Amino acid sequence: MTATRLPDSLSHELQIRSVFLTNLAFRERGSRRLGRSNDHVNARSTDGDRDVDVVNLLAEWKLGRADAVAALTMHSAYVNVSEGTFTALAGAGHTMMRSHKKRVGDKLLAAKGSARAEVEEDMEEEEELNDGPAMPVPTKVPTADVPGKLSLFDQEKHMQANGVLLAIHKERSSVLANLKSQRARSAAAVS
Amino acid sequence: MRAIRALIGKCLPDEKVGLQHVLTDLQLWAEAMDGMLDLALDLKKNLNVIMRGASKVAHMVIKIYFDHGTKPMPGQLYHDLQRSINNLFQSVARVQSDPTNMQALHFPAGSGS
Repeated sequence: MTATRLPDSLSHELQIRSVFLTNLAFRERGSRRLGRSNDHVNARSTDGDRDVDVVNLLAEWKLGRADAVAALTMHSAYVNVSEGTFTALAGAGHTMMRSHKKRVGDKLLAAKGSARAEVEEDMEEEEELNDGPAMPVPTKVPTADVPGKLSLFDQEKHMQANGVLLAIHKERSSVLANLKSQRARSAAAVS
Repeated sequence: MRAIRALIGKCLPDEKVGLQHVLTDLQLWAEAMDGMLDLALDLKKNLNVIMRGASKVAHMVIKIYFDHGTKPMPGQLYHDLQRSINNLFQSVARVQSDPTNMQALHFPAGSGS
């Protein structure tokens, strides 16, 4: 804003204020509600004490845990829950963000013998089949082994085809090696 | 949610006894989510009460998710809830441990506290 436009802007501001002062109802109209905000981020709209220094994190955490135990035990499926349940979970390495020792979204293994476990086993077998058996490494056929009846042109074609196969095999091996290393890295990152 | 919570302890009429377990499940869920609703809607609560409620939600939800997986709630919802609570506690702890902190006020705003 330039110095020349500043007085204009200030005069506009004063005019708006005077309009609001003479017509108080305007302040509460529309989505802004200038007189009283319901926005929970706005300090003016909160009546509660939001001073961070007053909060005792550990105490609130433990009180919340006790509340959770009280609420859970009201349900028949969680009658045996106690504060020791959460201590045992934490001791076994389960955290809030990794409830099954894995990030949420990672595939959880089904319990052995369940219907889902059988489906997963079938899928794994199918994946292995699709992956295919290991391709035999094409060996470079020495010239002496080529039947003598082959013409020089046929020999040339044979060697070319052999070279192409070898290149495909190398490419496939490198892709598989990359995939394996990626899986190992992701597994290491998860653990 | 609060209306569902108000039903706690009340039994359904005899002809609807089969629905009782559905009602108790809903009540448990309403109880679990109450703390998160307060966090967003209740403007009169103090920060320590809000954090106590958030801790209650975190503990209830991990137990439910640990026992029943994604049946009661999708993994994304579980993750969002726990991440919001994690951020709330972390941000308060960070401000408390900051030596230059001069009476900071905290206003939880969803997962981006």
